[in-house]
Amino acid sequence: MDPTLRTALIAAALVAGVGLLRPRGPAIVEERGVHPSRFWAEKARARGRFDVVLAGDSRVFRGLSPGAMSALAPAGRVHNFGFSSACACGPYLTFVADRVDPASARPTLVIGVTPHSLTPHAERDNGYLAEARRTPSEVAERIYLAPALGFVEPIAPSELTGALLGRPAMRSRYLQRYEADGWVASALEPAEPDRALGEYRRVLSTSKVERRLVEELGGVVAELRARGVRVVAFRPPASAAMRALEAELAGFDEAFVRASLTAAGADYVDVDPDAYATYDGSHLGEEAAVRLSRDLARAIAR
Amino acid sequence: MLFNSLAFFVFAAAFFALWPLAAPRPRPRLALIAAASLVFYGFWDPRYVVLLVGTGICDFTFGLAMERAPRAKTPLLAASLVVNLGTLFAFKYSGFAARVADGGLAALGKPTHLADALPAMLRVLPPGISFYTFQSMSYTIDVHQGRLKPTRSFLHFLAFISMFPQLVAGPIVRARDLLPALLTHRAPDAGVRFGAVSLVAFGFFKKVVVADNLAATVEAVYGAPQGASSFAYWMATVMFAMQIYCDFSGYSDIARGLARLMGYEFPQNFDHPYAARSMRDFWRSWHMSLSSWFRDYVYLPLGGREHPTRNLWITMLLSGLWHGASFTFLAWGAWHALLVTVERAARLPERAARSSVGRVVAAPVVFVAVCVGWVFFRASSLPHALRVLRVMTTSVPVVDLTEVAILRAGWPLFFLAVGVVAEWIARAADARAADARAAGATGAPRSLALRSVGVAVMVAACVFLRGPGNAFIYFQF
Repeated sequence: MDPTLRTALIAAALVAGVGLLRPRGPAIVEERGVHPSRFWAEKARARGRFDVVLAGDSRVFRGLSPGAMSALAPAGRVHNFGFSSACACGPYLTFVADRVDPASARPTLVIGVTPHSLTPHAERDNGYLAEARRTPSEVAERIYLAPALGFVEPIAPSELTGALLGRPAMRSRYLQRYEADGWVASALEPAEPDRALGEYRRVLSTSKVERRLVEELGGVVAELRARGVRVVAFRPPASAAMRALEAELAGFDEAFVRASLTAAGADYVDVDPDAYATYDGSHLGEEAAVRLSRDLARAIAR
Repeated sequence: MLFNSLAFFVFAAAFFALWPLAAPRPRPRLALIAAASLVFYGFWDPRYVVLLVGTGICDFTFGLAMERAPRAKTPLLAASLVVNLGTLFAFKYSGFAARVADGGLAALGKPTHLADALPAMLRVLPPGISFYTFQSMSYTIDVHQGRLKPTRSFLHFLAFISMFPQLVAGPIVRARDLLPALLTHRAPDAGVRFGAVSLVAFGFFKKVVVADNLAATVEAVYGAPQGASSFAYWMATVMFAMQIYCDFSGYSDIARGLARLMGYEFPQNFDHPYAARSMRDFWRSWHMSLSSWFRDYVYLPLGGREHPTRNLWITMLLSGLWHGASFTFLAWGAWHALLVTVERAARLPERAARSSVGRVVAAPVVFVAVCVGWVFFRASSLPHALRVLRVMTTSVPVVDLTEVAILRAGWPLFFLAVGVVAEWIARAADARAADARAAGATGAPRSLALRSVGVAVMVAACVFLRGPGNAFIYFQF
């Protein structure tokens, strides 16, 4: 047999075999709903406009359900445009501001302001920029092909060793359901209340909240207000340990941020952080997210 | 178009479906190579095609003019060099030169904003411009020296400068080798085809499994704003040594394999450089097509061994600058020039070869010296490189538990080991093949079935163990 053909046949058999027998359980991350690649690619290139646009980082895209908010009329058409590590600044702010429908009866931009979203780290390296910079062919691949290519998705070495040793590579399973309205309903089973602290400590020890970013956000708020767009700002809930860490390392002064944004014309909604339990110190599980969404929708409606 | 993209797989499938139909006759063959290559290159930005074709038209015309007006050969060559080096300067070095001028004038109390005044189009480096510019220059220089007869067909010339497998990251193929080869066609037999496919698979394996999986850790350490420990910098630098080798030699292997599938042979670009026992050996086995280009078109015309040290430094500094418009690349070139100068002056390889200890430690010492050079290559600026080197050389590289998390995430040590083992196997296989050739062995090797399995395993590893997709490092040059 032709050696190239023989090699191709063996390779095809190997790929099919590994694809079918790849370690599946217990999965470290279980994803449902819209395929994640498609979800992020489409979100970053959305052209639609909405009555209420939700903006912010992972605490927003996991923590606010447009479905739960729009159920409480008169929120209207609501969409979650949160991105990982999104910065409340620069191109991302322009993008979310453009998603608010100026023809809406009550055009509203809801911004979840986290300490990290006001740091140079978020400004330099965030999920929105990473997605927006992709080439057209990468985007096409992510939207149209990625869902079909799940079979050949990379396997992390930790998954392999986990499967070989009969134990998952991490203690908990991350469950994520990607909704068409931009929300990612999430859960960590079992919860690890301090899991996110290490990563935040690493990032925030070198990247602090910068006053110029707060001022830039204030400038955008004032501009939006001048265009007739209502801006609602709030601090997404996090655990007490996380809030202490953010105050200590990032130098986050919520009173200053609140005063700056209010002076620029934003409505600042106070959220009781202790009323919503996080599963990792930073993010809300599905039930808490729905509750926060409803509470916020009521506050916006007032 | 990146080799490691889905678009390229579709492109390659279409090209190799058409190739057997077009290859037997010269015009369709050259037309297919040129058209496919322009599609391949234009995929980044169609405007780059204008630049590539424009450079080609100039050098094609200069070549013909040199033949028709032999007395004007030297001015015509000078014009060709001005066009090629001028284009390269405009796109690659004008920003750097403007920033240096701005800095210098500001220090003299006369602030300028030359860098800001540059047109936007000059701020983006067209992929592979350094590679095809050098390839195109080799044509006019060889015609000028009488080593090559100019081609009368622009299609032929365009196929030569744009040939997609090596267009953006080499190997740099000489006009006198590739131009005549393009006029012939020899369909690869089953053995050559399998060798070509093996080379492509190995190239992808090095790139997507080893280099891409190491990249994140290297970035995490070198990009850490607070800096890192001596241990982390040494680890990351060794990983970067493996990353850049697998990235670049992987590209070269893919390029050579694709050319072989078309029936052409590109020069070997790497010959296990980290096994080198001297800096001279290293340069004979690292980016060989560029090293030999600089040797033939810079070092020797400068007088070669008449002024070896001066010529070496000029060549090495130019080689550093070829890699990028930055003081870090200049420092990288200077570091290698210094190493070769010291090695020559102290006759280190000869002395090492005479002692058993020297024979054992030569390769590790050369590797460490090369790694120090990689710090300049990887750092974001010269002060950054010096900071990293200070940490690496002034503190003992003790394992720092706070940084173990970085070295565990993504399993970089595992992929570093994979890279080392793959390189060791490849080196042993090359040595066996060389021995077999020397012994006059013919026919298929006995282990062909085993090789099929090995290649298939590499393909499966590329699919399931691939790292986050990254562009090839050498595209930026």
